[in-house]
Amino acid sequence: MQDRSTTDPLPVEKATELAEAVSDNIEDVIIGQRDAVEHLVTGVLARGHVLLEDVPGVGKTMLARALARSIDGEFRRVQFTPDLLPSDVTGTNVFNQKTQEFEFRPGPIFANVVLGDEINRAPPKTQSALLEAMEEEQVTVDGVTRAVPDPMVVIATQNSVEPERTYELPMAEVDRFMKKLSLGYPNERDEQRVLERVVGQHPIDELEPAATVDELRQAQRTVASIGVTDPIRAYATRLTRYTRENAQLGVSPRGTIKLLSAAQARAVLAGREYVIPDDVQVEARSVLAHRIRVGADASGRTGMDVAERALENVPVEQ
Amino acid sequence: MIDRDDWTVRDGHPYDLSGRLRIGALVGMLLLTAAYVSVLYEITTVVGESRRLLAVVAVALLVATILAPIVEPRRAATIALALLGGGLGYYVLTVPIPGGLLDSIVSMIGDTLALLTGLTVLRMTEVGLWAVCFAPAPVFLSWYLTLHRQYATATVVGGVTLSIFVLTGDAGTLTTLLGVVGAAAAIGAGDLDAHGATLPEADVLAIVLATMIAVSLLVSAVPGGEAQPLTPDVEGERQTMEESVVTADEQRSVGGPVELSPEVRFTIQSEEAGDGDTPLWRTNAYDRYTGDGWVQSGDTVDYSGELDPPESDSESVVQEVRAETDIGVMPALWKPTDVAGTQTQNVQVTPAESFAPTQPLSAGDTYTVYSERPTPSEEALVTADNEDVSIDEEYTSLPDDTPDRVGEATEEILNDTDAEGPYEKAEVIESWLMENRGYSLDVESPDGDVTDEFLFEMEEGYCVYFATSMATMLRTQDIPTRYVVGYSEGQRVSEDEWVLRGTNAHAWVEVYIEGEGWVTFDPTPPSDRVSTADEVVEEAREDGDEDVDTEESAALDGDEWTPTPDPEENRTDDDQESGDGPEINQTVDEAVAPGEGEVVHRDEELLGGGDIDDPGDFDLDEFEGDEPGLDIERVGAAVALMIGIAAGVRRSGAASAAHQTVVMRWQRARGTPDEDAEQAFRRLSYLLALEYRERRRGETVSAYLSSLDRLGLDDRAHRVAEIRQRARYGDGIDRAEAEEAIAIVDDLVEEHGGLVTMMRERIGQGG
Repeated sequence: MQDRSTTDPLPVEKATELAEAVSDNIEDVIIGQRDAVEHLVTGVLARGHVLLEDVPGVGKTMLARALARSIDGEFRRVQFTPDLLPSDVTGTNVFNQKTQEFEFRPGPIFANVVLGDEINRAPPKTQSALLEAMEEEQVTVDGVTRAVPDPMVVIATQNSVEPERTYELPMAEVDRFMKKLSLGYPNERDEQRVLERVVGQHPIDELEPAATVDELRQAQRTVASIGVTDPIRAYATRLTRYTRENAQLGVSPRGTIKLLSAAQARAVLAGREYVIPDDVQVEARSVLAHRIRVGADASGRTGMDVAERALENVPVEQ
Repeated sequence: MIDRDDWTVRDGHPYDLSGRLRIGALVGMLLLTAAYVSVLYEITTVVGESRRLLAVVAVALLVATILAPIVEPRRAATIALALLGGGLGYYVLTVPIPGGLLDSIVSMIGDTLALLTGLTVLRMTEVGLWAVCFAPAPVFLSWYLTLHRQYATATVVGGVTLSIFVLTGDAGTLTTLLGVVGAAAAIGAGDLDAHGATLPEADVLAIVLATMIAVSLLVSAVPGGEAQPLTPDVEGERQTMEESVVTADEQRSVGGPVELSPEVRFTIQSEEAGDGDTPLWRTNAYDRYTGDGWVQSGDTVDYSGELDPPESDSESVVQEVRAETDIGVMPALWKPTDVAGTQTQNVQVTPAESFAPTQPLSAGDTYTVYSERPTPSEEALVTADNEDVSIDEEYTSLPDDTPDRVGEATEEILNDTDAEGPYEKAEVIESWLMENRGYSLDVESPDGDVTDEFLFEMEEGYCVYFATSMATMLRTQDIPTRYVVGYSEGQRVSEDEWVLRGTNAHAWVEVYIEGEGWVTFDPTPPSDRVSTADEVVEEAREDGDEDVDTEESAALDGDEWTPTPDPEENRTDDDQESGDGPEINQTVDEAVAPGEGEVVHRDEELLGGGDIDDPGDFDLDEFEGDEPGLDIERVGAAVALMIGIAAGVRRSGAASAAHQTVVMRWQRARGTPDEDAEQAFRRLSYLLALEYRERRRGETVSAYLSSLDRLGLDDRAHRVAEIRQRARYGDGIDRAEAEEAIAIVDDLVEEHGGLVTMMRERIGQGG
């Protein structure tokens, strides 16, 4: 456990270099997904957690592993199944015969990068164990509360196929993910490059860390210090208010906060010390869409449609 | 067009009136359109093009409705301009004007300017064709814009069109009022519609509209504002008979009570005029009957050489005419052929072959006019059958809406006699009118066709009614007629001298007889007319009015000249011996009759009586050549008009375009560096919007600029945007950077072109 307050923020240029290095590193493994990689990196820099929703086999797990290796952090993976228990996520107290005492054996949540695979296959109780850890940055086992490592990034995946065998995440829990991303299939050329790389020695095994966990922590503090002016706050507010007015359930104030954090990380990625509306726009889709519930009479509209309309119709400057 | 509804969600207000307000705006626009179309319709009924007009208007509305959802406003404006240009072009090419295309265009422009100064559209030779060509453009454009919710611009289009007819005097008070209320409703309801008004707001609109109507009707109760508060040409006084009959105008309307002006207008000396029939001093004639008045079509031309003598035998009559007041007409016996004297350079010839001065004559001006008085043989007149008559159809045409019973009644009157040729028929009608209708100056303004009213509703009228009715009735029998105005005999102060007063203003009829030309008929009962006129002169004398008499007539003390020598007479001494005794005696008897007759009363009803179909261009100033005074009503009307125009300009966006252009051109006084950068960037935005397109709502500056890069955006624009971005979103900029941004924008504006160019483009974009 580390004392976070002693960590000084990196200068913006350094943070930008770090973010680019990490992105490049991951892209060595995940071919042709620069956008998704950048979204993942900004999500991590903004201390957010990421939900990946996609069909199986497009590299969701590989993305998470590549991130973990790139920051030289500890990587743990939990495969969510219907019989998974909360303690399988958080860890459990085990009786040590030698010392005649219970001792805590940490679960997979105690890592820098946690991959929760197919999170929607586990029952809600287990899901919420993970989600508490995500939001509170701590877990409570048998009445004892323990802090999780810093940084701790949860990358959860959901399959968008076979929805009948899943426990859909409640809105309150989806809201805890900063972003929802989807990778999608690579294009033809990229898919060939994937084959070239993967057959034989998998590049993930050769991946060198691009940054240390300490550096990541510092970069996260840099992001938090990025300037946000009143016009930007006003624009973000207009966007989220628009979603509330045009959907059954719109984006919560927590969503607005996350949007600004993500925009700060995006500004760092661009090497800028302050947020501009473009940053907000780039982050808006992935941050807002999964927080919007369109309702029954939406006639095929999705949360993404509402987010798109918000971007189109909300005046950037007033 | 920006659809605000996209992102501003309307509250579910319990009094959401948007739908109804939209209907209100549409109805308002229809009302405005109906106002000016009704003017055009009235015009076309006169010349028989009304069906084509209605068809064209209906098609224009239909096309606008169809095109509204699929055509952009700018393209629609182009279509409307094409319609207008095409229509007027077709008119120019169709109307036969000698001298080729250029002359046609010049003549049309001249006509148009003349129209705007208050001449009726009906003056145009091919007015029906003109109306049909003109109508589609404004109808199409205003309706299209209304459907596009651009109510302000639509109202400007419709309002300008209506204003043209207000200026030409063809739109009456009621029509104008309806149009104005329609315009107000369209703008008001449209505006409320656009902003999602609530019930109380809509109430305000209703109150405003109601007030407009009520005030404009009640304003007549204000002293001096008798009839027509909405028309610029406000007529405060009841017109005189003379104004109603004898002026230099091309349009005469019939109607309403008149009074007689006893002032002396002319003295005429002529040795020959006393021979034969009672002289009628003709000033003008009118060919086109509108149902409520007469219009002269065709052009007045400069006098250049002698006019043709009449077709029949004739005798020469020389008349020395002296104007006793400033006046704009030149009376002469039919048919004038030549003119000489001080005013010869100023003489024009009207289409009705009478002389008219280009500038009003001044008191004391004299001229000599030579006339050839027709002396057709009775036999030739009676036997003429008009079988081969070749004369403009205008002289036999009647408005479409002339009631059939006019023709039927004429038929009936003629059937009771054995009249055959046109001459005999005219004589029958003349004497029928003389015997069956009484003479009175105090009559209500007719409500429909003048002839129809006079034949079926009225018992009495004055010369205008008699002459109009006779001309119209004969036209139903295909006999060419025209309506003639001028002065009746006047007071004969010696054997060869006549004094013409305002009271002598008169109207009569000329009938075309094949082989003989225009023959004069006067259906007004002469004795009643003369007595009424003399009463007025007598009253004026008693009031001590100095303008009533010349030296000669004063010497006669109200009596006609008699062959008795009079020592005070100086100019007519030589001719006193040879008077026309019997006729004069009769007139003297009438003249000395006690003046009990009701001549003029001004107690009209509040709203009635006034001539609402004609805004009244009986301009006393024009007639008498007086200095035009500052008329408070005109000033008021002008101020109201200016306010309206100003509001319209503002609403149409022209003013804001001007404002934006000026803002774009000059940087305001310096503020903080951040503010200056913001201001410079705003100027840049105007410039870019002009040159490329406006920034879309959800578009960031950098996305906007990079999309313009493909169109060749100047790199310096990026620099300005960058400086401004730092000023707005970053930690601010210093003075040098602000100045850099301002300098760049100054340069860009300079390179783009002058202020005028920008202004034009800006307005071209619709503000």
